[in-house]
Amino acid sequence: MDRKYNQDNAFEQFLREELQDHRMYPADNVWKKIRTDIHGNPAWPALTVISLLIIVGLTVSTLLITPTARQFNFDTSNLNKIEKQMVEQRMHAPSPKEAYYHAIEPQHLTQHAIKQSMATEARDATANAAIPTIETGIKNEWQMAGVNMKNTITAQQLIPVVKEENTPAVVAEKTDLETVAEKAWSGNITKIALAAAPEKTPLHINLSDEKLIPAVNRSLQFPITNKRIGFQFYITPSTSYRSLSDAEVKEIVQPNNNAISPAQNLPLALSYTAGVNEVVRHRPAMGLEVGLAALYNINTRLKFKAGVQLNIRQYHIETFRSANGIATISLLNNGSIENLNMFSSYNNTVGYKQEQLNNKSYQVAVPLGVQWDIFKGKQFGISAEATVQPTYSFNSSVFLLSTDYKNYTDGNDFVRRWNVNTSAGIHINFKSGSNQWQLGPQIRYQHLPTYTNRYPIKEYLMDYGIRLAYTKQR
Amino acid sequence: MTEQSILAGCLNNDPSAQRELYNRYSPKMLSVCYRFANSREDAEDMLQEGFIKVFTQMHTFQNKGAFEGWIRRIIVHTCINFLKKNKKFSNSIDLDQADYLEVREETMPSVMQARQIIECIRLLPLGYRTVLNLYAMEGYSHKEIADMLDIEESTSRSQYTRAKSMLEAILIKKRIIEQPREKFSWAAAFKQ
Repeated sequence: MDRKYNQDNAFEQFLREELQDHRMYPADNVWKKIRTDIHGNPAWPALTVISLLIIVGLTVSTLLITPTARQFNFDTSNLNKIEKQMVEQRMHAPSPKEAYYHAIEPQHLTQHAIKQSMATEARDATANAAIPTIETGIKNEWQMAGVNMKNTITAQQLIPVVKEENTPAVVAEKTDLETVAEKAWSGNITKIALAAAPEKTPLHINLSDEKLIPAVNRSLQFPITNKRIGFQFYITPSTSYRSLSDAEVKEIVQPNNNAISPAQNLPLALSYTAGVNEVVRHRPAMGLEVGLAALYNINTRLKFKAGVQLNIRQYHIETFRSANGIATISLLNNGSIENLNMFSSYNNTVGYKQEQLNNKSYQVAVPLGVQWDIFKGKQFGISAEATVQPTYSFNSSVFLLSTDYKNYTDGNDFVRRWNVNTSAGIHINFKSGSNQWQLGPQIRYQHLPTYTNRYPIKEYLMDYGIRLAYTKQR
Repeated sequence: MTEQSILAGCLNNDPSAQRELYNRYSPKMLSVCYRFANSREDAEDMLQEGFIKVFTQMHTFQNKGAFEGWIRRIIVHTCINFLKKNKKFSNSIDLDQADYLEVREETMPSVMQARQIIECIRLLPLGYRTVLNLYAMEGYSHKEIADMLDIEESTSRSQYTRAKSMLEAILIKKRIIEQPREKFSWAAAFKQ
């Protein structure tokens, strides 16, 4: 350098040579500001999640909300047994072949009704009787539809029969199928035709029946009871705390560094005797939880809860802005240490300006749990709730403490995406009709460390909040 | 990504190409800004303004010279405008009274050599520093500097001479360079 400078008129050249390759690394927010200036604010990802919540909520409610039995004129008290059987049948949906034979069933009426109407139709059919072949079998399929149509016309008259007999055992289930076919068609339909028909148009008859026989279908489609279902919207402003554990730093990272000579320039902690909790200056900050859930009444006091929720968690880090330095992250790799050097302009202990960083993360979680009514009055009550929440962190903006505790650097690449949280709370309930409001404290704890297992400083998050929930019981 | 594909992406306003371009040139450009600025925050503000201009004026680049040179010119002009706009660059104070200003050398931290030189440059009064940066580092002529800073060409020359001697003194004091040996003069020898 001196040699270069001492050449004649070399001052400018000296400066250029020395400084031409000098680089400084700007803070992350510079690019964010540039991007915002050029492209505008990026869409807040939470909006997508909220849209998703609404779509899920609407879908679930559409699927679960069916007309109630009160909308029909039937005296359902007399039909409880039928209803149960129908529900069972729906839960055990028949195979295509069974569906065909079920379609032959004259709307699950009594054997007596079948005989009456079938006999009439059989007489008509006998008049047009042809040699029973496969073709005639197909034709008869149309006729079968016709039979059902006729049954439709008489369906409303037939319903009282159901009530009278009160044991309208489903014919197809109790009666041998072949016998039914023989009785119904008395030689008009052969076994061949019956066997062939369902494979050709197995669902045709069902569909036509449902379209053509609304009255009968109503008698068949007893709504599955949904009084047990409730929908809940809740919001929980909270304060986020964190706990740090540096056991692995002391056990694995520091002994390794001690064993290596200082000449190798490996990171050494500020003070081996000081724990990480004494070195950092973190402050809790406000977070938020918003969610939608469905509640299923297992019994009068216990409800099962499932839903989807969005969480925003954050805490503040007090640090100093400093000249660009190297932040060394020691990562665990099957018992050995890998040192990763990253640029950092935030120093934990010294700098030219005090700075506050926000460790913020957005999470989507699926709470699964129970709600227990401890005390249940007419309007007021007390309930407790506990849920387990598989959680996905989808947009984090976090700063990682270097393992020598000296610097903070960008930690987004180290964030554990999938995690498990649990939450518990106790609420005061206020009930008005089918509406219920809940208010009470809640605690939420993150079970796995925020960062991946390779990062030796373990961080666990806790949220303390006040939960406000609105439940609409159906 | 090649520079051509980055440029093509930037012309299409592609954020990933812009990010790539920023990642590639921002460290060098921040170093330039830092030499002009009073603080790192100011330097980052200059860098931000400069890159916004780069991205919005990308279509004016005509592939006639090096792209880095084009960016550098934009950044330097942005720095000058920033200093003027924020009234941190004042001809009446800096350029005329700089001789009487005290240089606080003790504030210079001990860091790497290039950085050390930059910190030495930053010890100079703002007016001196600006002229020195433009002339010695960026290669502008005194006429161009006079136009940019709205000063006389002679003022630019004199300020540069003073800035240069002041910087030499600081570098010598900091032992970054040695005192240049004076040329042997027979006349001086006879006088003695």
